[in-house]
Amino acid sequence: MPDIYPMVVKNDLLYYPQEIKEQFLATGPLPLRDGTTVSPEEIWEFMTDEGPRKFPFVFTSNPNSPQRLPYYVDLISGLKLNYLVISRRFRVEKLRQQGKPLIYVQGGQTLEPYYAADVVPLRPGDMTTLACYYVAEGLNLRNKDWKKADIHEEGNRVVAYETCRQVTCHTAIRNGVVPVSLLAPYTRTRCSDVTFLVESHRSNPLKTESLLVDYPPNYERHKSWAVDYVAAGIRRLIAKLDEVTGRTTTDEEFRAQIRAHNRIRGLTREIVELFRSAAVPPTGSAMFYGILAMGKDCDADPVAAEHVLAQMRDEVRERVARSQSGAELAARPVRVFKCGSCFDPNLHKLDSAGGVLVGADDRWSYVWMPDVHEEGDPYGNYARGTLLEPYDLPTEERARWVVDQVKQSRADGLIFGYQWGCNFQSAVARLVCDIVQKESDIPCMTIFSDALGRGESVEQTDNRIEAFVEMLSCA
Amino acid sequence: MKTLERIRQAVERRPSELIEARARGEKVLGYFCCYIPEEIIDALGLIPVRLGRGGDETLVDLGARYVSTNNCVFIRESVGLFADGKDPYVQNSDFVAVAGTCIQMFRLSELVKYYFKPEVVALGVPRNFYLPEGRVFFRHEMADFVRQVEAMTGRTLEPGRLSESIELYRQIREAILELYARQSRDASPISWRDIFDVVQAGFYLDRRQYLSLLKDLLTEVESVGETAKPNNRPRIFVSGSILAPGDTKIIDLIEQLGGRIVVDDLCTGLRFHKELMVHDHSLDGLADAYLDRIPCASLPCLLPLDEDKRFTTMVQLAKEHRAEGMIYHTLRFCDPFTFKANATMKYMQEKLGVPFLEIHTEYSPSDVEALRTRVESFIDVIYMQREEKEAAAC
Repeated sequence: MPDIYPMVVKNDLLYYPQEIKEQFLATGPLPLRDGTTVSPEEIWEFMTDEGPRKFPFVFTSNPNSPQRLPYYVDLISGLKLNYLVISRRFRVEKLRQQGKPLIYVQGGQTLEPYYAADVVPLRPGDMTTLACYYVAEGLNLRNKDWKKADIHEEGNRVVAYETCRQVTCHTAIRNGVVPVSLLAPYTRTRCSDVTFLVESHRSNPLKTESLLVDYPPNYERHKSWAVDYVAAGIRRLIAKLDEVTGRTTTDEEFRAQIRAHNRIRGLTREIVELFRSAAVPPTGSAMFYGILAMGKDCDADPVAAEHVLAQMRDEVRERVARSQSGAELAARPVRVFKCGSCFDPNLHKLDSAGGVLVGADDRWSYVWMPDVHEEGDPYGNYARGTLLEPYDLPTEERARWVVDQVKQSRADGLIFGYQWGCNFQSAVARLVCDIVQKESDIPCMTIFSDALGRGESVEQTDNRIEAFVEMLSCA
Repeated sequence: MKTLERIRQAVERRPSELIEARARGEKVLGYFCCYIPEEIIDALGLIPVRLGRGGDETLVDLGARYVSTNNCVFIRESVGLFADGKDPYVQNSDFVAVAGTCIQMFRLSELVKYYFKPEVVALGVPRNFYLPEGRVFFRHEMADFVRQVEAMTGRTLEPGRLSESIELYRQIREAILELYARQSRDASPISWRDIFDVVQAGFYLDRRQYLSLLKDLLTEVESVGETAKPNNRPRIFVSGSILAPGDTKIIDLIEQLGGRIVVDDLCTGLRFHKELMVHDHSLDGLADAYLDRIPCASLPCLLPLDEDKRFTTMVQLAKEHRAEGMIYHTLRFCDPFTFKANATMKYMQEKLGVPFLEIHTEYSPSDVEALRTRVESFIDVIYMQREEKEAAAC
């Protein structure tokens, strides 16, 4: 049995090959958080018929699309992960019908309190993608991008053109494209656009309510009052979520979610360790990054996420044991560590240029937050845990954490990227790079880009990444 | 006015005075952001100096080597001040304090600490400043700030000294507010520009000498009385991003084109002093007073607009000072103010119906002529509105 299978290209769309169908069906049903399951047959049908028909922009074979599927299947369980992403709209709609409202959250926070309150938390990127799924049925990549650009430009007019691209999802909320019941993110220190964008909803014609859980910018470990402050914010958050849902969240429900997310983050770290242990990673960068994202956000369904990650862990372990490398990776790829915020270059192009992603300090960081203590007061425990997420630590401390990760992942180079409008990652880009260069002696590159979520016209970013990989491969 | 000239001369002398003071063993604490309580610095026997300048492109370029063009020019120039090392107040700061109000400002503290090695202390300011837990948090932060400064300087904050300092600053604020009230009268002998400069002189001067000068200025203003001819130029409210010392582009344009600024709510102007009332002379009382001041736009407020003190104060100030138009100045990539420009415009037009002009700019002079046209047109609009009102009254 081969270890990789090429996708089938028909009418410029990618289709999963029939040869993997039996193997995939053997992976069993996908359990969901509402107690139901999706049979593998239903998933197969969705991913090979309904999905390509409704969302051709995801199934496009266009190499320029950063969100496209890989050209080869090397992880059978990856099909389930992709199903969770592509079926988001239908799953979320079903949950909404069951009385689980959509809540806007920030990209840089873990989501235990929201799942404990039985709501559907979605961060800006997911919500923007969701908006595309709502408005872009049947559209190809270019038309989807144009639809998205329309929403984005409207947001610029309403708020300011110096907002980062997350204004797109705020506009989708404001316009009712995505039916959000509450905006309730943390303030965090990684971004302040989110804070002021939430504030801009005071003039939202739909009167969508908002709440901010504040995260002190200068947290130091001796500050017990900062833990109390965040814990009070989380109490206020859950009380508000309960007001929206009409139910009461118990401490035990919160603890149960803490336990679940500790397990999910642990699973993700296991997969990462397996990647690190391999001479060449067992799958491509896009799938690796998708695993990290699933390990933190769970794509609206922690039960499904845990199931998928467990299957992926087992499959990755087997591939590593058999020394099977990612289908689209070079024989000796340049190992790249990615830093920055909301910087999502085309990882397929990174692979085809001879590189491979071995770590990141955004979603990655949250996967690596210390396990939250599972007994006792869940509010205090969670606040203490979330304050230690590496990405939001004071920058020198964060940079030293990145140095540690760079060494553990044997990275050959680091790319620090930030987007148009991001004042905060841009402010520390040089500082992080200088510390990493000094303490780990690898080349670092800073990229300023305005390509987040765009399918086309990203050549400048691609060129720089390709040149960086080329330089490192010659070193 | 003679006192204004004395203030200008005192500011010119101040760098050399600081050098002498430090030679005598005194210590200077330079700080960024008006949420740093000067009362504590003064009560600890330190010399407070508010840092940061604007309007110098060379320093902006220098600072941009450490931050990025996605950061506001004030932050870039502030980093540039440290990189350049020639600013007398940066040179003479033994310690640096930064309030984490604006997150870019907090990043500034991290950069300055890493690259230029001063001793830096940060004061956390809660973004949920209007909630009870925010108040508790800020009281703790204030106490921690004191502990850190005490540890850095080897001094101890004594309650008696703190109370004296609180009283000193109360008198300074009272004098400034009185001067603001005087300058906006129709036939005032002093201008808003004079008072704006006086407020900024207070960032540097010895605060006791400063209070004395303010009292002299008030006496002089009183003795001169009103000018013979009322100043009938269009009355303009200036709001928005920081107008740091040295950043005079917008002010110069407004004045050159015949406008008369009568009020502001800038953190380097009236907002530095207004509604900062310490009712309880304790550390907690001081923390509460600073948190209850007119909030900076960098602190998000989710309360309805009519309950947002920043908005309600704008309306109140505009009415008090009979503003006929508002110029809302935003620095490029100053998100706190820029993101709120549309909401501010709608609110002010709804409540006051006065013309509103947003000017989005940097320190570069490249847009001066474009801005000149816009400000000129804005002033024309105010004149037209006046004529319409006069015609309607007839």
